[in-house]
Amino acid sequence: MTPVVHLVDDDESHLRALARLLSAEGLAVRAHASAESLLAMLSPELRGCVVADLHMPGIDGLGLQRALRESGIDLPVIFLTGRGDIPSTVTAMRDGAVDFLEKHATKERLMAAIQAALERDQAQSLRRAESESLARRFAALTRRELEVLREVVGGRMNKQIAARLGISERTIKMHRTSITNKLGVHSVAELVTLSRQAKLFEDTGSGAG
Amino acid sequence: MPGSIDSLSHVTVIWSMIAAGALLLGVVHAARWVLDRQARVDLTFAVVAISFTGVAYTELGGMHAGTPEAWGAWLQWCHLPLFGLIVGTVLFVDRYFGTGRRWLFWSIIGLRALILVLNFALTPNFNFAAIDSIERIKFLGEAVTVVDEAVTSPFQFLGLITTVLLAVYVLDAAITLWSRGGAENRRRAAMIGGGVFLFILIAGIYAQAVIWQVVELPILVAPPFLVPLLAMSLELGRDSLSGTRLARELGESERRLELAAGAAELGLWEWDGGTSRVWSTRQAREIFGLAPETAVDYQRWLATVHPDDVPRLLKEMGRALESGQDVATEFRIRPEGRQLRWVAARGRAERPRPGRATRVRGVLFDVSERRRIQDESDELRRELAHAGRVSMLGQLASSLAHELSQPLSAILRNAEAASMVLESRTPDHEELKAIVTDILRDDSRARDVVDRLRTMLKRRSSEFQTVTADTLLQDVIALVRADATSRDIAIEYEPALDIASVTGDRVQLIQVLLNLVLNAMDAVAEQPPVQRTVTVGAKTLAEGRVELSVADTGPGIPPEFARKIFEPFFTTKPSGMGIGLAISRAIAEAHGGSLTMETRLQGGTTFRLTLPVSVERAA
Repeated sequence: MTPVVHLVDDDESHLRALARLLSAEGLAVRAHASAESLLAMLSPELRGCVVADLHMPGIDGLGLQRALRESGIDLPVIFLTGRGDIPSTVTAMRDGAVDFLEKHATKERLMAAIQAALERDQAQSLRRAESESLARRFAALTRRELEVLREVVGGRMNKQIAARLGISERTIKMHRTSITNKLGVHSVAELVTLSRQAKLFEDTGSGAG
Repeated sequence: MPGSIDSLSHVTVIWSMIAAGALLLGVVHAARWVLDRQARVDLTFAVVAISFTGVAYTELGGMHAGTPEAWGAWLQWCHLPLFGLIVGTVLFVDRYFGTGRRWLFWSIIGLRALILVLNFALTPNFNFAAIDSIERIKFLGEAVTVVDEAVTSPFQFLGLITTVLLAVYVLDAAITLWSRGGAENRRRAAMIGGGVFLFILIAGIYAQAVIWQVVELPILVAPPFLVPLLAMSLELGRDSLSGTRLARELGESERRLELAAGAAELGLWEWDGGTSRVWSTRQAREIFGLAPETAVDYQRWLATVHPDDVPRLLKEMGRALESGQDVATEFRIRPEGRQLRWVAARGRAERPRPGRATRVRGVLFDVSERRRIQDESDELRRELAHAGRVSMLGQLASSLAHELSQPLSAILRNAEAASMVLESRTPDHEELKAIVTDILRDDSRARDVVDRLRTMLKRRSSEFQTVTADTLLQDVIALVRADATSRDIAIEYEPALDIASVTGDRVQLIQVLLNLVLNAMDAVAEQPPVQRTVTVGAKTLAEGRVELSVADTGPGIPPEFARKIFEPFFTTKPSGMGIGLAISRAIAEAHGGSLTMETRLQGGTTFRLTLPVSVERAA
């Protein structure tokens, strides 16, 4: 999905002006007159960022940010405000706002913030895609293979593993071949890195490697 | 010498005396009339008195007549002064009482005129068809001629009718005057009416008796008429005495008035519309800084009045003369070598007869001090109201800044977008047009916010105009909208478009409503968001009043505070001055309205601003 900048502002005129500017800058823009309007069309696949007015009737900027987090959507949010409002700023930043801009900020500042947000979203989604494919690959392993993998990542030799699992060394070798085939890796080092990326066996701790 | 008493001609002496006395009275009153032509009553009395002399003279002549023909001739001539006597009496009653009936008045005069004509047309006279013989009898010690054998005239009944009519006329006029009440009227009615009636009773019956030869006595009209004659003379004498007293009292009262006016620092003046002459008291000239002893013409007066006020003053005087209405005005004067003063003049137009008034007279007094105090207190109230507005807008400052920043930011973004569009090789004209339209609209939006603020923040004097309740409420909502949004407060307003307009100072009325709405917003601020509602509205009340209300869903005002909230410097807010509601109530009252409050614990509070409906609209 192409990244879209979602604009949320109750001030119709400002909303239109901003949409106009961002479109002229070559961005895909979607304007929402209220937070409710954006929340109604949410889906986990959404890509891009949110630029929201902090002060709105109904659900305001902070409320929108909370609602996004609760729905498990991690679109970066940039807040716009007409006034320097310190308590709101603190809350917004603590809740992970990417940036906090005055409505009057220069175009460069605004574009930089949006660019940064989009990059952050892209990185996030890339990471998300990777871990998803990884998870898919690991999902192909059988239970016995996972047990063997855990021992391998833990740094044990085949003989030790055979003793711990109470199966023959030859069988261990067969499992290891099957694991490297399914995950498409060629070395134990790679296997360890991949397992860590997939956040597997985190309970077995740091002794490994 | 008893013998000489017998031979003394009593009749001649008495008749001569009363004739001479009456003549004197007549001449005196005729002379008075000549000197004062307004004294018509004196003229009628002179006619009566001189006619009386004539009657007495012809009576005496008859009593001394030697033949029936001579006697008849004297009686015939007697009718001439008798006519004067009766007509004069009727006129006197008419003038002096002002109550006689017109038809009786004219009937009597007409009949007496007819009698007079018949009298001289017939022989020997009106009363007798023939006089056969006369007789000499002894009367008051003198031998007098009386009629002996005669035939009464067939027209005699006319005389009788006239006598009855005269009696009715006088009696009726006297009773009417009496019933009007007042010691003066009653005395006149009794004296003149009683006197004349008594005369008619005595003389009428007696004369008829002689004419019908019931008694053999001379005809006697003059002696009984002495009664009304003296009554008339006494009344007139009393009047002229009281006139003198009145003149003296008038002088006294004038001096007293002048003293009182001087003590009260009132100047008296009189403006003659015809001649443009101005009469004035010393005090009046002093106020104008004019020399007290000199007479001054109206140009001199006007020269002292402030040039800006002259046209208005002349117009007001002109209107008073034209319409005959009272004049009450204030204007500035600049007396020579002194500071500017404010002078108030009150006057009443006088119209001697229907139509244009000819003069205005009245008082004038220096009101500079009152003006100064009034100006100062006005200034103070204005300052206070202004301070109240500034303090209220201070509360709104951050939300108003936000409201202002919205259109400005939109303009910035649009301008940036436009410059992007222009950079492209083929600029989209439609897009540019749309951008410019939006920029213009946002500019006017920003200007509205600034204008609203400027209007409310300006120091200014009151300007009354006609405004609708809807305009006022919309203005107030525009001011608080942003603040209400940021505080999650709903402002509810059901547009009241068919509400009558009110006359007032728009800024001050907005100030009152703004104060009420801000208080209401503070009242609901601590409530859960769904209960934060402020409702504004307007409705027309009976008897030409409009009510603007501001209601909140706050916790209500405790009774111990409710009584004090309109007092100055009473506040429950940590940063409040406590002048908002006091100013608001003062403004409401200055508009001829009222500001009241109604609160229920747990039920919210409603403030009501009641104002009179604009006259222009209602008319």
